Amino acid sequence: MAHLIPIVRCKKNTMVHVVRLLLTSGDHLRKLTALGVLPGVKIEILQTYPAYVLKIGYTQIALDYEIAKNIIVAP
Amino acid sequence: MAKVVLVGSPNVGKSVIFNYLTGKYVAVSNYPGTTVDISRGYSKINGKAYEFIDTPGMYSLIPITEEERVSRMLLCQEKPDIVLHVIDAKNIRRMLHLTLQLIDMGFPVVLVVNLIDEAKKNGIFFKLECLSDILGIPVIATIATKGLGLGKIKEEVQQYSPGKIRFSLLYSPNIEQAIHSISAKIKGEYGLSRRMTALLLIQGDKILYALANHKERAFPEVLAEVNKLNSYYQYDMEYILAVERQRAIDRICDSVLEERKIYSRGVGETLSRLTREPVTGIPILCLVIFFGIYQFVGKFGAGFLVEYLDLNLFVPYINPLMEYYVYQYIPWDWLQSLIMGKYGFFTLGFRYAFIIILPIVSTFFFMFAILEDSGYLPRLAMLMDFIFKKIGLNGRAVIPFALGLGCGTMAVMVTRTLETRRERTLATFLLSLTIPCSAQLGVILALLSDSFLSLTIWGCYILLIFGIVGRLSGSLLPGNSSSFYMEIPPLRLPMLSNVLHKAFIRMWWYFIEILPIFIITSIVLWIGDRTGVLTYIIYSMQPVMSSLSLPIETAQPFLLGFFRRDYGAAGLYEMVTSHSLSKEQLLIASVTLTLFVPCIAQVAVMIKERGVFISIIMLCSIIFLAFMGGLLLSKILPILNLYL
Repeated sequence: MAHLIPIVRCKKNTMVHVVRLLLTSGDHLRKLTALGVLPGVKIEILQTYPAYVLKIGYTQIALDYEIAKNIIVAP
Repeated sequence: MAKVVLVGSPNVGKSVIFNYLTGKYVAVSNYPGTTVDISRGYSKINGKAYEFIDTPGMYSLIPITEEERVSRMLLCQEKPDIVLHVIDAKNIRRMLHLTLQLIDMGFPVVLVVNLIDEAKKNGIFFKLECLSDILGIPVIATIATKGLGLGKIKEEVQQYSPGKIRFSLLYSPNIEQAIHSISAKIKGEYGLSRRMTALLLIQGDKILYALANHKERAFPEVLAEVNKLNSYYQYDMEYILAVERQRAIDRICDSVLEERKIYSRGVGETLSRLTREPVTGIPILCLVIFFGIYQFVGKFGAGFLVEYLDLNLFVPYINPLMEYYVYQYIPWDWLQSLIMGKYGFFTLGFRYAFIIILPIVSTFFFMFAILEDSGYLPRLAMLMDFIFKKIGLNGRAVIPFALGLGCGTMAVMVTRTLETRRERTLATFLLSLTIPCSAQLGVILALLSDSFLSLTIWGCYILLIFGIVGRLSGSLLPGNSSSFYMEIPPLRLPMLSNVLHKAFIRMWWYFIEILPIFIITSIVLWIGDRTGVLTYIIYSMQPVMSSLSLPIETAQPFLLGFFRRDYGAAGLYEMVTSHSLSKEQLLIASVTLTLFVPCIAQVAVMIKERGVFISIIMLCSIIFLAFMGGLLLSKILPILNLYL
C-alpha cells in the first residue's frame, strides 16, 4: 500500500486522493464533509500558503493548517 | 397561500431566482454569506398567490453557522408546500447530499440545476430527464443570471403535484434498523418526516436533541438506541452517513452525467491564481485599495462629487431657493431656524445627507458590489487569514470588516456569518472601534488628502490600534479561534446591471435607515441649541477637548459624531473650510473621531445582536480608548515635530 501522509506534507500542484480523515468527531469533520472532502475523493493541491487551496471536483476550497492537517492522503 | 422555500449552498444563485420569482430585489453576490436574513416575497402565477421565501445558504442540514441554523429552523417551522433546492451544476456530486436529505425529510422538492453554462464549460453534460426519473422529483436546468430556464420554475411551481415514487436512499442494514426502531419510538411533531427525525437524532443534531428531550417520553430509550449504533463506528454518524450517501450519489451521477475532460486554463484561471497567491495577491490587494477605495471613493466620491454637488447645485440653486421661500412665507423665527438655522433640518439634515453622504456611500457600494460579484472577496479572506488569526479571528471575518468600510451597521449584522459567539463579539467590538464607515472614511480621506503624511499617520495609527486592541481583546476573551474554511468561487465578470442594481438597493436601505436619524438629530440639536443645553454640554466638554489640544468648537462635531459618525466627520469638514483647525489638530480630531462610538443605528444593531450588557461594556471601552488614543497622539506629535 502506498504510504499515507497528511495533505499538509504534500507539495503544490500534486494530485492526491483522500484515504481517511484523522478526526473522528467534531466541527472540523463536519466542515470537511460539507465541503466534499470524503474518502476516495481526488484532490489537486493548488496552493499551500497562506492557506491550503484544494481543488475538489470543480470546486476550490481554502483551508487553514489546523483543519487541513487532518486529511490523510495517498499519491 | 402556497409557500415556496428556496434552499441551497451559499453562492449558487438562490437570490437571483428569488428576485425573478418575486420581482423583489435582495442583494446577490459572488461570496458566501450575503443573505443573512430571510427574505419573503409575494407574487401571483396565473392568478394564484404564492409566498416565496429565500433562505441563507446552507451546506448541510446540521448547521455549523448561525445562518445555517436560521435556514434549518425555517424549513422545519414553515411547512413549505414546495422546496426549491438550487444547486450549482458543476458541483452536483457535492450538492445532491442536501437534495437527498430534503427528500428524506419528506418535502416536496424541485431540483433547480443552476449555472448549467459553467458546467458545460467544464465539460459536464447532464441527462436531466434521467436524473428526474431516478430522484422522482422535477429537475429544471437554469442559467439564472441570464434568465434562462426561470420560466420553467414558475410552471413547475404551479403544476406541482406530489405522488411520484421518490428516490429512497437505503443506508447500511444496521443503520436502517436503528432508524426503524427510533422512528417507532418518536411521538412528537418536528416539521420533519419520522425517518429524518430519527436520522438527525442518530447524527446527534443539537436542535432536535433539545426539542426531543422535552417532548419525548421515550427519550432515554431513543438515546440508548443512538448510542448502540454509535458504538459500532469509530467516526461520528454524520460522517458515516455522508460517506454512504456519497456512494449513492456517485452511482446516480455516473448514470446521468457525461464528463468530458476539458483542460481549460483560460484567462479566468490565471487571474484566479494571481489573486490568491500571496506574491501577486498582496500587490493586487494594494492596487484594489488604492484605486477602489482611495481614488474612487475618496478622491472621486468624497472629493470631486461632493464639491461638485455643493458648489454647482446646492450653493447656487437649492439653498437660495429654500432661503427665499422660508423667509418669505414663514413668519415665525423659531420655525425659520428649525428649517434653515445652524442646526436646521434642511441646512444640517438634508445637506449632509444628500450633498456630503450620498455621493460617498454610493461610490463605495458601487465598488463593493464589483468586488462581491467578481468573487474577489473570498480570495481576500484567504490572503488575510493569517493576519486575522493573530487577533483571534479568522479570514472569514474579512467580509464583515470590508463591508464595515461601507456601513458599520450592515457589517454588524453580517458578523452572523462568523462561527462562534466569541468571534462575533470580537468582530463587533473592533468594527465599532476602528473601522470607519464609507461616509466617515470619505470625509476623512478628503480632509487629510492635502497632506500625504497626515493621511499615512492616520492610517498607520488606526491600524496599530486595530492590531493592539485586537490582540489584547483576542487574548482576553475566553475560547479559541475557529479554523478557516471557505469555498473559493470562480472569478466571474460582474454584470454592470447587477452591480448597479445591488449598489442601488444597499443605498436605498442605507437611506431609509439614516434619513430619519439625520432629521431627528438636527431637531434634537436644534432643541438643544434653543434651550441652551447644547452650549452647556459643549462647554462641559471643553476640558476634554483642550486636553487633546483641540479648539473647543471641536466639541460640536464630537457631539454630532455621537448621532452619526459621518455627521461628526462632516462637522470637521465645516471647521476645516473655515480654517479653524491646524493640521495637527485635524489629525488628532480625525483619529479620535474614527475611534469614537459608532452611529446610533449601529449601536441599535449592536444591542440587538450582542445584548445590552455587552454593548454597554463595549461602548464604555470605545469612549475610553478613543480619547486615550487621541491623547496619546496629541502628546506624540509635538515630540516628533513633523511638518504635516
